[in-house]
Amino acid sequence: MRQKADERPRVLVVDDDRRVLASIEAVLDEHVSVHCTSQPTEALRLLDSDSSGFHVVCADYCMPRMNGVELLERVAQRPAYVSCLLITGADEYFAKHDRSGYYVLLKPFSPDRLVALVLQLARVAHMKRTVGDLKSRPLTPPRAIKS
Amino acid sequence: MSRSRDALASVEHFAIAEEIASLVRHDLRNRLGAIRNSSYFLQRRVKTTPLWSEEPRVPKFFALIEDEVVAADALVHERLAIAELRARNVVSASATGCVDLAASTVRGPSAIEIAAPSGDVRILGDIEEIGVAIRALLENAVESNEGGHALVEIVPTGGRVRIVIADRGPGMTEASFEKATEPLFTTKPGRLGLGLNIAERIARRHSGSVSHEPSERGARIALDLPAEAAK
Repeated sequence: MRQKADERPRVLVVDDDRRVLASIEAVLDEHVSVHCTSQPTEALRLLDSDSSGFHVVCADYCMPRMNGVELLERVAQRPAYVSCLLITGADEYFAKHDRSGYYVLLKPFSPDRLVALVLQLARVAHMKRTVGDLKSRPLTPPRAIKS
Repeated sequence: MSRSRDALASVEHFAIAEEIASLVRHDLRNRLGAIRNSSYFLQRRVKTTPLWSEEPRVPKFFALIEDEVVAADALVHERLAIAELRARNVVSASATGCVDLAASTVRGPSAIEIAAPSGDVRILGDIEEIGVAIRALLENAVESNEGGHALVEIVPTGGRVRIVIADRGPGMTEASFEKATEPLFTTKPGRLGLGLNIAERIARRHSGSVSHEPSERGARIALDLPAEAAK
């Protein structure tokens, strides 16, 4: 059953290939609220301007001017936790990177796998933000128990 | 010398084919991925309509699309595995020997100086592949300036060996180096723009890397490789 649009996790997908972008949006939008852009700089602008916050950012690795790793590293520096998922072919990614800090989905992937991973990452983001909120609240001193 | 030159040419042809195959593989994967995602979406929509149960060929053909896309992807991976076509010959090699081999086969006018330490610095790898990687970096260097000047420094550092190629050209920023590592990027007419990619791929295969070092004059590109472990 579909959740109400405003209750669903919010996912930002970034890929310079518009056909791939449209197909990923079609796979995900039954389960999550999907926003798409083909420009990494636009993705950063959306993250800056969006007060309710995205739970997950999915980025393709191969993009001109700013690749997916550079984008996700900038997303990870933001104060609010956002789960980061890099979608990439193995050789193009392992060609240059051995770092982590984001999840990696290797091409080719089954659409079911993408949906499951995005939902899992949205839950991770939700939990981390909840824990962050609890930590930022002042502690209530323990009450004395009367015997 | 002519045998060495032929050996490098053959390895270089493999390296170019490997880079081009990697680009083709990437594009085909994206196309196949878009088909698979689109089919998945359509299948989930059609499943909720009477057409799914009334016409048995509909689920059958969706299954066929999925199977064929997965098979095509596997085929792309298998048929474009160029690297597996050449048997690699990994041996203990002198770093200076690899640089000499590369420098002696550089195409075009060049004035290459080599600054090597007095002792024997050894690396473990395929001499011809490493020669191709160094030659690709050297050719970029000598083409960057009119006199074809390039200086190669061999620097052993702990368990690594850095082969630094410095030129007297206009120099590079980190951003222009990143740009130059994009496949098929070139500023030289008649060139493929794969030299840095080939050097990077060969370096990675040897657990090494290619990086840009800041420099006040010209460009400095470093090929970092593991040194042969001391016995």
